[in-house]
Amino acid sequence: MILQIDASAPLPVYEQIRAQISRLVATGQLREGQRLPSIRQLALDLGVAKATVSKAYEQLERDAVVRADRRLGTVVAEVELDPEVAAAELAAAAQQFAIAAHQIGATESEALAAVRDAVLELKRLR
Amino acid sequence: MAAAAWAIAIGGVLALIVGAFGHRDRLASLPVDVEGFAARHGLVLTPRVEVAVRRLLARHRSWRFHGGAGGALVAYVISVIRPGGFTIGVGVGGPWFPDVLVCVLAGVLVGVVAAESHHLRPGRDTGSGRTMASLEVRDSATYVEPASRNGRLLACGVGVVMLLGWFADRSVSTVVPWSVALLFAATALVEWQQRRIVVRARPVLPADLATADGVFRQQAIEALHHAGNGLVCLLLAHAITAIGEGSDLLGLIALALLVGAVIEWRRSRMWAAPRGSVRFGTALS
Repeated sequence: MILQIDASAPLPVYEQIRAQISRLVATGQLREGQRLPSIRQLALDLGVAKATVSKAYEQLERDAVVRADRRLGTVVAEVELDPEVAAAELAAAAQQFAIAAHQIGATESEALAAVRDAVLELKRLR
Repeated sequence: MAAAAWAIAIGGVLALIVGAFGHRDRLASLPVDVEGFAARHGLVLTPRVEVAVRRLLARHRSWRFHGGAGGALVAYVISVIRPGGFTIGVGVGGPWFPDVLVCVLAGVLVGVVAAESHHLRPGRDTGSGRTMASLEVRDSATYVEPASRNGRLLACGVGVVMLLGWFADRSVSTVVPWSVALLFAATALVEWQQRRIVVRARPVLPADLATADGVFRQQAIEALHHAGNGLVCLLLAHAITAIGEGSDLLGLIALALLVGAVIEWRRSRMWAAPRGSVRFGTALS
């Protein structure tokens, strides 16, 4: 499961982390009881300050998406899965991509090829 | 005068050894070591994995060698500062611990720590300015069996008992508190470095390199544990010999610990494959 942040994006980094983990939990990619990396590990891997990851985790805890476990660290809390969330997220992401491809002037086949390449690249990574 | 002559002679021999064996080419990883390492850990030797394994082994060999040589040099320097304290063996070192074996093993441990002190950069994509990270959890249990540190913790417990005994009877050699202090320091160093290796940044990597990264971390921690255990065994042997002068039983225990130190030192050499068991070339497919 991969997390990506963009330091140059207008959205604060902690919010990017929070939103992506929330999405992974809401769509069932991260299941109840599953452990999240420690604050130190995630901060080092992403090259951000520990306070940034800590803030994201605090917000997730406040939203009851995760809970702190004394023995296991931060784990995914019990969340009711909404089957429509994944479809809605995918549609929104596709719409955003379609707009960007249109603005660039890419043809339909070029845009689809770019998506396929990105999916393959993601599969290759761990 | 005799001690000074010894110090000069050993210093000269040491300089010769470092000169002869410390050359970069001699410490380079041999293909047989790289293949053996990959075969033992089930790594597929793609070109980039091969480069990574070669660098890992060369880095460890080099740092360990120079750490050990540095330790011997420290023993030599102490022997010059404090003539008469320079010894090879167990239980005869003075309070400054100018014992060659202790200094060499401590140097090896420092070398193993230094070999894994590099920092990996997070997986920043310079083109887009984006950074990726895996949500895979890494902790000590991912890489090592909890049992592997229990021996060292037990040794620390024994050290505490010895220290209390020494406080009760100060007539026993000061080798005891110094051994125990070094034992605690070695244990703390191993624990500290183990945590650093576990949480060290791991960029998002292609599958073959990601697998290799897991093996590298595991092997680095194992090498660290073995080097630490070797030093701990030797320090306990020192302390026990100092306490039980004239006791056959304690002498035997000290001897067993000395043998244990040598075994642990050998096991900490991650490139040393059991040659007979490796089928060369199998990892190249």
